[in-house]
Amino acid sequence: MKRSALTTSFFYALVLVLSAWYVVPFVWALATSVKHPGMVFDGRWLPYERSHAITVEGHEVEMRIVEERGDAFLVRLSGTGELREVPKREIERISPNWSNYAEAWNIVPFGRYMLNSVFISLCITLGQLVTCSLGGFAFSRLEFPGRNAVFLLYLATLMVPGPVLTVPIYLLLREYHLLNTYQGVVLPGLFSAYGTFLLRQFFLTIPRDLEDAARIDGAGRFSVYLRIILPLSGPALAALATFVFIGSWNDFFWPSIVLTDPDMVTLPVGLAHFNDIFVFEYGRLMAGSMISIAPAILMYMLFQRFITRGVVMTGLKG
Amino acid sequence: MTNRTLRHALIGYAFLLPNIAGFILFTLAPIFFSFLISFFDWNLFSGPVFVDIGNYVSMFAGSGFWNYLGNSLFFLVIVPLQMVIALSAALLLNERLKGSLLFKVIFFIPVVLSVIPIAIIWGHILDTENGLLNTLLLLLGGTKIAWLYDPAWIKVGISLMAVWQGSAFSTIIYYAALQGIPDQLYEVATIDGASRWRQFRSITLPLLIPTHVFLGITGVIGALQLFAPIYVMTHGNTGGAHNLIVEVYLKAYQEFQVGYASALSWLLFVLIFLLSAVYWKYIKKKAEYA
Repeated sequence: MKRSALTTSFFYALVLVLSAWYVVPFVWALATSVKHPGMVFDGRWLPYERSHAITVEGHEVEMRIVEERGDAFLVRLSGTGELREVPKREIERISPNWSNYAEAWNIVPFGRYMLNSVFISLCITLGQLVTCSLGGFAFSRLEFPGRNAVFLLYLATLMVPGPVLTVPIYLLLREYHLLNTYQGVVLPGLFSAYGTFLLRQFFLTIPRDLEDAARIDGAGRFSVYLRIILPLSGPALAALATFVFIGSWNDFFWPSIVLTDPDMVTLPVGLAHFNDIFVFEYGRLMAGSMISIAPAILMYMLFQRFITRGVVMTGLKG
Repeated sequence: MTNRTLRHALIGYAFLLPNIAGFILFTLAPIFFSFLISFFDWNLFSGPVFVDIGNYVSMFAGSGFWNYLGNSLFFLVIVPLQMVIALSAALLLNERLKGSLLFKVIFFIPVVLSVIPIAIIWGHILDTENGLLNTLLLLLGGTKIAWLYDPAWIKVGISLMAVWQGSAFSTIIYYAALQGIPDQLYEVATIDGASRWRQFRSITLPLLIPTHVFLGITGVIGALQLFAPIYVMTHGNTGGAHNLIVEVYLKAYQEFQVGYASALSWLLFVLIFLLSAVYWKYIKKKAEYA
């Protein structure tokens, strides 16, 4: 449809406001992440560094800033103790302090956290693909007594929120000494009524003829599942996989309850600990946050199509 | 049972086995068990003692509960805000402006981000002394607000952050739904002389009703279960500004009062259920008049 120039510029203005709303927090965090200690709250976006020496008659002389006077600093030279007014630009220069990143990386085992997160998320994703596709197959393609009753029960439990389940699962894991183990995080995540429901709905759309032909050729149920249904369900499996992966990668509540060993925690839990320890050390905190965000952004760039489709397909849950 | 049905049952349940085992162990049994222990006083160090509905009674009798309930309800303000922002963003993307691919990336990215770094970044933005938000407020002639220390403002700050992140998911869903509306509807309306605003009111909004329902209900469920941002931004010191789910967490995993925590979590379930039902009713009525 045709738009008037006025409408178009109004839309652009709106889009820019919205973009700013999303982008400014990142830019602000990025700006802070390269600031020098003591300069985090100087009210400027760029990272300034202050030198501790000035050149006086060709010699480097150490000095200390006494006070700010407009565009200049009043400094006291060490040794002579002489007071001098020096223009700000002679003392301050813009230089990003990358060492925040190195320090955050060294203080916190981010590499280890990422490995933990990758391992746990992969296990959960693969596990759900297997259990949900088998279950979805049974609910959509097989006739057996009690099928519909069991399926209804699955649907009914979708209403029950997480907190109702966590305490008993916690007690169960404690009973079997699975607290603080990878299994403790992975096992409860291997199954999802929601994923089963999603795949069942998708399998229902695959024509029966293919299956019937294979059955006449003597294929068993399992080979129908493996050779016909699964290969034809690529988009649905990919959607479920991306959604489950992102979900477990970002999950905080459950891993923070089960995992206490610092070597085993996932990225979000480790970052939350980091946040508790380095309160107000914003330079490092932001550097750490940026490090932890990087894989997700990379993942988004690589799998953008899948992610959007996955959210839409599985979006029924939220 | 004939041989044939028995065989079918065996095959069926064999396929279902890994699934149903997980379902029973991690969903069905916990639901029953949680309901059961909500009638016990149990702090994990000594054995459970049956207290009948004691947990529920003491819950309603204490003032803390009503406070946390109020906070839980306060966070519902997130839902309409994120829906309005998301719908605007989705509509703008649907206009296919130049550069919309870039805007799409910008609007969608928060959906893949973990809430923890986001909460940490927002903690910095909301810093009282030199945070971005207070700097802006001072520029506009306002006064500093203790976003993370004043219990009244903590909720506002956390809601801002939750809206920021939550709107990305809703934008994707709205965007997908908008693509499903046939162009012909708008063409016919244009020929009939309907203004763009009129078309939005009479075509777009009503046709998006299923999406409003879905986002409204999932939004309510999400807002009532807002946990990580509160926990991270306040380091657990909310000064009483936290909601029911954080209270469940504190009671269960710090005080180990699992009976009381279970009772609380059931109440949260009832709340979620009731609110979803009310919203459902409301939107259905709206749809009839539309």
